[in-house]
Amino acid sequence: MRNIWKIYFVLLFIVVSTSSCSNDDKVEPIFENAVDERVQKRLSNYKKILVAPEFGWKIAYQPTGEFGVFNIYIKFNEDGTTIISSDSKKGVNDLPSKYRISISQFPELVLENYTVFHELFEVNNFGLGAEFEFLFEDVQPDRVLLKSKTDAQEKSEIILEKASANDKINIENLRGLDDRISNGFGTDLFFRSIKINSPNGQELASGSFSYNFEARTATIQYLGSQGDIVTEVIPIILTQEGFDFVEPVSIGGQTIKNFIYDELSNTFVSNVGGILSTVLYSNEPGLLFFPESNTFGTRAGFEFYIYFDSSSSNFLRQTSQNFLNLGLASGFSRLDLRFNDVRFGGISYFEFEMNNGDTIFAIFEKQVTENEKITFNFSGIATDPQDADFSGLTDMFNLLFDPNGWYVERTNESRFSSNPSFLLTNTANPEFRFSVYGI
Amino acid sequence: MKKTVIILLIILGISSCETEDKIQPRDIFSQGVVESNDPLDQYLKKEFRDQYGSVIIYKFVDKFIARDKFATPPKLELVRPVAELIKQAWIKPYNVAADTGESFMNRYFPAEIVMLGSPIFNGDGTITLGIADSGVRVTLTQVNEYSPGNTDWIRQTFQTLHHEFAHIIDQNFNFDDQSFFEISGSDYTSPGSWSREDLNSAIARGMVTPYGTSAVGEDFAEMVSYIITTPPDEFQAIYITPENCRAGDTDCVDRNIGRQRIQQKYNRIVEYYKNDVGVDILKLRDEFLKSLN
Repeated sequence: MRNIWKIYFVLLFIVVSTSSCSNDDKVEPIFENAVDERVQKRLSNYKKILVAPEFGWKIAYQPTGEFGVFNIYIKFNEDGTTIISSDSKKGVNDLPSKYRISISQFPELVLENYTVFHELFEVNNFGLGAEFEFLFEDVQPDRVLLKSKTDAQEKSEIILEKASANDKINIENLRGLDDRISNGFGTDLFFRSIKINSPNGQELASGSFSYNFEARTATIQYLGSQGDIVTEVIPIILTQEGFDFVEPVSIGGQTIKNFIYDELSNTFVSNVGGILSTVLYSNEPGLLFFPESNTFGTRAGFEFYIYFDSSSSNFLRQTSQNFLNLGLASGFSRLDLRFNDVRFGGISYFEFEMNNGDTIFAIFEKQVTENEKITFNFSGIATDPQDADFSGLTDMFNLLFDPNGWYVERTNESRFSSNPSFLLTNTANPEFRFSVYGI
Repeated sequence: MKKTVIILLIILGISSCETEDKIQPRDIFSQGVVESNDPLDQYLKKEFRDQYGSVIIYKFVDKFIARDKFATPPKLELVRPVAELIKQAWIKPYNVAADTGESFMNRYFPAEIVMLGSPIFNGDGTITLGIADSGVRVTLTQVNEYSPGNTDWIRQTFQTLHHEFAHIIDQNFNFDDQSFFEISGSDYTSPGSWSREDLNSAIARGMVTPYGTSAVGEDFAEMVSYIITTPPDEFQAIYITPENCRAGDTDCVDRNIGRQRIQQKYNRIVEYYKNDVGVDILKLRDEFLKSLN
């Protein structure tokens, strides 16, 4: 038995000693170089491609389809720095940055210092979907496709296209042109509309129009064919002439895409076969639809709101200068708006905190015109002290108790995330507007 | 039989593979990285790496931020001015106030300072202003808010830095937590509830800020930070001098009791820094305040 074991071990020795260390140089390697070398070669090839174009790269950056397009020029320098130009915020964040082409899990491009890319990343509480850390997806000498490194689900894309000599200056020439699209540019008129007219001047459709500066989107509301309210949030792209919808939009049966700015009338006009779509300002809303009027001052909304004048850090800036001035001239700095106050039998009232320490209560009954406006119908006065003088409030009373009423819109001005803010606009004199937040 | 096996194993061990002579020792630190000639990198190398063994990380690296949080990097143009401010308002005051002079910061200055342009957004609506990791890294946020003469930013930022550095001091010199517990043991807030406190209620609990009420370690770091960054007359007026309370104003009485506790902790910290750490914290404060001008 012992001899058999000896034989087994001798055989095992022979097998192991002859086969264990095969001659490595007889195995054909799959790759010519080691992994590190191949990675470095790929990274340096990526850098070579990014640095190569004499005039850099241009990007029409639309992080997600919900938001508009930002035009960006970028030049990658051999020394690891970049030159950036964009049409966002007048180029204020077109700052020099270093960049890194490296590998974590995958080859990546990181813009390492703050630029317009980081500005867009921060917009809307990081909700724009923009990025400054990218993964290489497809790299060609005249086109580079990158994907977001950090998007969790669907990864947003960015395409770099080889720029021509004039692309940088063309993008720089767009800087500031979104001012003229911004709400209220060059006018005191508050309401903004879009009107679509036939070649003979007949109105085919109309609606309200507003512009979101940071998201670079237009919002159009109009009456649908079923009598319903249709809201379209439309991504736009700036042009030298005006702006374009990124995709054509159909309103009232008319397809619209390109708008040209007319400086004289401060309007944007789209002309498709003689049918004119015009974005303009006026004294009347483009669409009489203010559904917040229904719930303002009810338990479903809030029943207590506060207005502060500009001496307070809680002053809400959508308040118009006319209202602010009238309030200052009337001698109060804070105005409370209470509905259904159970402490006083469920009455509703304005409470003026006067600068001399007096308190004036102006009692009213609320009247709602559904989906349109709210009216405060005056019903009495109370004061503390009883002999307090409220003669300075006459003009303010006339305004607040205007029988034409107030449009109510929800805004995002409140400093407290759980407390909504609202803008009240006088229907007869829209230049009088004041903004309050719920308590 | 056993002999045979052993002999075979020895032979196998000797003859196994032949390529080991190709493995050569190499410097694992150099990694073939070429030193940057960029003037900013050269400045940071000279002023921080060579002097204090500290690397200032101003290029965005996502591993320094948790995966569920967001932050953006600093503007390139602000890196050097803020780095100079770190020397002026952090390192220099310690150099003056430490018994061992410059060698104190040579030894204890963090090995890494990470600069971020924004705060760290935590995803739940809160932000983080600074982090100290294991005594070796401090993260400085909101660099992009800096502008020359913005003393509010400087004061707030260096409150955060001195707070984080107090943790590093604690980790190296083992502050006696028990001495704070003896003063304020039952006054700390339950986990997560410090944000419901305000300055008055914090003072009534014997702490200088609401955050200080969250744990004894944070109480210590907040006290240190506020001692260093608050002008002494302001500190005295807010945290030490008792108010004249109206009859029946129990909140006022509670605040005055809290102020007595703050005074005790203040004394404890001054003594600890002097005797255990080797730093005159009052001189440190004076030097810091001088650096703001």
